[in-house]
Amino acid sequence: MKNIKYQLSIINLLLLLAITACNPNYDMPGMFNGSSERADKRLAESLDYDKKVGEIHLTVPEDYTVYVCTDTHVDSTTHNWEKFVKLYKADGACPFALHLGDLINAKGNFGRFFNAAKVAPAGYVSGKDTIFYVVGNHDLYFNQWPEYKSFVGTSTYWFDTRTADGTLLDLYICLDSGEGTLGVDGLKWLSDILQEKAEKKYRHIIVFTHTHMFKQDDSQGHTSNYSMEETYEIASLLTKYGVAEYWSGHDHSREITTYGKVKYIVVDALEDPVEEAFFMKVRMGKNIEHEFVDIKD
Amino acid sequence: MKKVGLLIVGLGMVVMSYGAQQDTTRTDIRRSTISGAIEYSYNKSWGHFANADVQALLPVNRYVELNVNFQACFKNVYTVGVVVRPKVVLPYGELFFDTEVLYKAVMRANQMDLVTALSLGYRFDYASVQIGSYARFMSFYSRNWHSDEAYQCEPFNLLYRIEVYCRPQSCNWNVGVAFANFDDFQFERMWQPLFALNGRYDIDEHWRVHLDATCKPTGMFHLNAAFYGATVKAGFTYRF
Repeated sequence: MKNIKYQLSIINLLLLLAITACNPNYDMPGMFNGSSERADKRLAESLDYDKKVGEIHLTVPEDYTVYVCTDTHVDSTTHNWEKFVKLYKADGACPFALHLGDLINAKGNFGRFFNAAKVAPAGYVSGKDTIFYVVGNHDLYFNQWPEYKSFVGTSTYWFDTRTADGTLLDLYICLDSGEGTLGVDGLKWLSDILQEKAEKKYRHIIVFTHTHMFKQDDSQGHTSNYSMEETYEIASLLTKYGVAEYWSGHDHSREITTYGKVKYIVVDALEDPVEEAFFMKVRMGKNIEHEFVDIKD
Repeated sequence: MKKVGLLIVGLGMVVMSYGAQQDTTRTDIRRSTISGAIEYSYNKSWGHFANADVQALLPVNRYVELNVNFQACFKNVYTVGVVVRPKVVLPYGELFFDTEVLYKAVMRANQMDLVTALSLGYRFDYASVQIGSYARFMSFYSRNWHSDEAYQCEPFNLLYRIEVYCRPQSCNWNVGVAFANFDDFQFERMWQPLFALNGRYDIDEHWRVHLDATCKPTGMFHLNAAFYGATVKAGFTYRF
C-alpha cells in the first residue's frame, strides 16, 4: 500500500511537471529569453506615447477614493473584473481606478478583457472610464508588448490629482517591472521624476507597479521579484524622496509591510475563479486608509 | 519502480567510486588557504564596477572548517561573511553543514543587509550539492527609532547550489559549472538564480590561480527573462 502511494506521488509530480511545461499559457522559452521588447525599449516607446497624450492632472475633491485591483488573469471568464469595474463606476467618491498588472493570463485575451468591462482601452481620462493600467509579466510574454501597447499605449507614466482651485494633492507614478527589472533607463527615469516632483510638495506620492519588492510570508514562495541590487536602489530612492506607498500585485496574496518610511502593499489577486478574490479601496485624504474588499460581498 | 530506483542508486555509486579512485590525494583535513581576487562586474542598477575579494579557509580539525570572506565593492558596498562548516567524511565524498552569517553594508543606498543561513551539502569529486534556508534582515542606517520606520525581514528563503566538475578534485586543473542562488558574497532571492563557470589551475604545490564568470539574469520566473548582470573574477590562492 505504501509503495502504491509512493508511486502515485511520483507519477503526480511527473504529471504536474509535464503539464506545466506543456501548458500553452506559459511561455517556457521566455524563462531563458523573454520574447517582448526589453524594458528600456518599452520605456522609450512609453515616454513617446506619454508626450503625445500630455500631462494628466485629475481634478478631484480633497478626500477621494481609489479602487485598486490586480492580477485578473482574464482567460475564458471575466466575472470578477466586470464586477470590479461596476463597483468602481457606482462609487461617486472614486474618480479613477488602478489595475496593477497581469490583466490577462496569456495570449489573445486583451480584447476580451477590455470588451468585458466596457471601458475605454486607450487614453487615460474619460469620465468613469478612467482606469490606469500597469503591464504585468503575463501581459508581456509571448511577445505581447505590441498588443498591450495598442490597447493601453504606455507602461511608464505619471499623473497627479488636484483640487478644483488647482491645489496639488497626490502624485502617482507607474513603473514597468514586467520582466523583474526597471532596466537601466527605467531606474534613472524613476530617480529623475522623483527628484523633479519632490520639490512640488505633493501631499502623498504613490508608486505603483506589478512586481512586489518584499515578501515576508513564505518568502517568494511562488513569485519572483527584483534582484537584491535593484531592491536596495529602489528602496533607497523611495525613502529619499518621501514616497508614501508602493502598491504592487504579482504575488496573488496580500501583504502590508513598512521598510524605511515607505509602506509596501501587495494586493490580492482578483482572478476568476479564485475563492478569495479581493480588491483594495484606498481613501486618500490627509491620511491614507486601506480597505480590502472581497469581490463576492 | 523499485528496480529503477536501485538502478539509479547503483549507477550513482559506480560514478562516485570512479571519482574516489581518481582522488589519490584526498585527506580528511583540507589545507588552510588564503585567496585574493579582483572582479569586474556589471549590472543594470549599478553599471560597471570592480570588486576586491579576500578569502580564507581555516580547517579547525577534521570535523570543522571556518571560512572568512571579505569583499570591497567600488560602488561603496562592503561585504563580510563567516561560515562555520561541521563536516563528516564519508567513504565516498563528504557531508557538510554550513552555518553562515553574511553582512552587507550597502553604503551607497544607506542600507544594511544581514543574512543568516543554514544548509546541508554533499560533495564528491565530480559534484557538489547544497540546499538550505536563509533569513534576511534589512534596515536603513538612518532609521529613526522614534517613528514608524521599520526594518524588513524575510524569514524563510530557499537556498540551493549545484556544481558539477569535469575532473576529479585531485587534478591540477578543473572546470565546473554551477547553478545557485547564492555565492560567497551574495544571497539572492529564491527565484533569482546565478549561473557560474568556474575554472582553476594549480601552478605548484602552494599556488593556485582561478578564473570565474557569473551571469545573473532577471525575470526568469516572470517567464520573461532578460540579462541583468555579470561578473568576471580572476585571482590566486595560496595553500599552506
